[in-house]
Amino acid sequence: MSAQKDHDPLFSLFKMGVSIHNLNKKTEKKLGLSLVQWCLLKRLIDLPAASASSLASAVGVHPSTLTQTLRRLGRKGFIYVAEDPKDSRKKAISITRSGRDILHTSTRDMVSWSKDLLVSVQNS
Amino acid sequence: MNPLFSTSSLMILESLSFTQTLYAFDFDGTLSRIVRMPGEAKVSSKTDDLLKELAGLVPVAVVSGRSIHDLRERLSFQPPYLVGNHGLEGLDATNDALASAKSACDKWKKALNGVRFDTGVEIEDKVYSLSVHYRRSRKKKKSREFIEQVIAQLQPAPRVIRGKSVFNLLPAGAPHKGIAVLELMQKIGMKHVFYIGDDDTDEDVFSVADSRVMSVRVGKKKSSHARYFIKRQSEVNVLLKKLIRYQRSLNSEKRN
Repeated sequence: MSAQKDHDPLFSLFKMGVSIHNLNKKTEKKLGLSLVQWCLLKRLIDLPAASASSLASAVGVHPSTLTQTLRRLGRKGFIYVAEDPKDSRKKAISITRSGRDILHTSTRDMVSWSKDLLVSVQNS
Repeated sequence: MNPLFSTSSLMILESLSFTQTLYAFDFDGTLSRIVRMPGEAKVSSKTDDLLKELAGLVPVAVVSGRSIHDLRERLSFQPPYLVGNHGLEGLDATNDALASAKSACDKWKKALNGVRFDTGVEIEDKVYSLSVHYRRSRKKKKSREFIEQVIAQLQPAPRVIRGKSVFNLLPAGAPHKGIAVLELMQKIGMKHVFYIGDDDTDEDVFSVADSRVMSVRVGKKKSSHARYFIKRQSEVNVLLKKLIRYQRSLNSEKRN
């Protein structure tokens, strides 16, 4: 019964979900950034003055799901949202110096933790 | 169009320094002041020094309608990337394309030499393109209309890019500055381009529908497609200083 449970793909997915959730809590606590926030900053560094839609497309999510994350990153001072000079309905989102700094200092930890998670998921 | 020297625009400008960005500058009216005689244009020693310093930190290009040979003589140093003749020189133009451009120019020169222009109209031979200047003409409007009529009869029909008191004649199918800047960015593996220019020929860069281009115009103009502007050419030094400062502070962080 136990062996059957271990090979159940749904159970594996559930375990992976829990691991990601735990990693997320860890990054929030230690770096002050969630996984999504970190990934967004990581993409944004190469997309200065990106629109919300191009950023969402780069990260692979729907633009509406980014609103909260962008708001939080803005409150932390890691991104700057300006009006697009050509279209006032659009926003131009850029990473700030603090955003770049946090990304710079956290990359090694983030990569190491992600690798650990992948290894533990593969071994389980 | 937003002012470049505003808090929000400067944040965006600074964020360009975090990624791989090519910094490209037009020559006349941007690095140098506009002068009555095109041959007299020169870069101030301050601008020259600042540009040289910036070129030691990041990829810098000078993109101009002038020939590369002409550009080289107007700078005290050799910038890593020089693009002349609106993109015909300095990139990967084939020998055939250059020979065909030269042949078209020779034909236009021959045709224009037989025309009696108003005094003050000058034809500048840039080998692969021609420029017909009328800045020094006393009857500018009349000269402009006359030049337009003459150009319309040239064979092969040139591509005409109008600038400040000048008609630039290029072979049909030749690149423009917008294509040149994007091509250079890709060729050298950059992710973004910062471009500053002042003239109608720079609109070819300003109107490129590519979010990787941050475009700045020298002088505010409502109809321009540039996203940002600085008020006048003398502010170029302020811009260069800022770009150097951003880069220097990143470099000092890396050392620490």
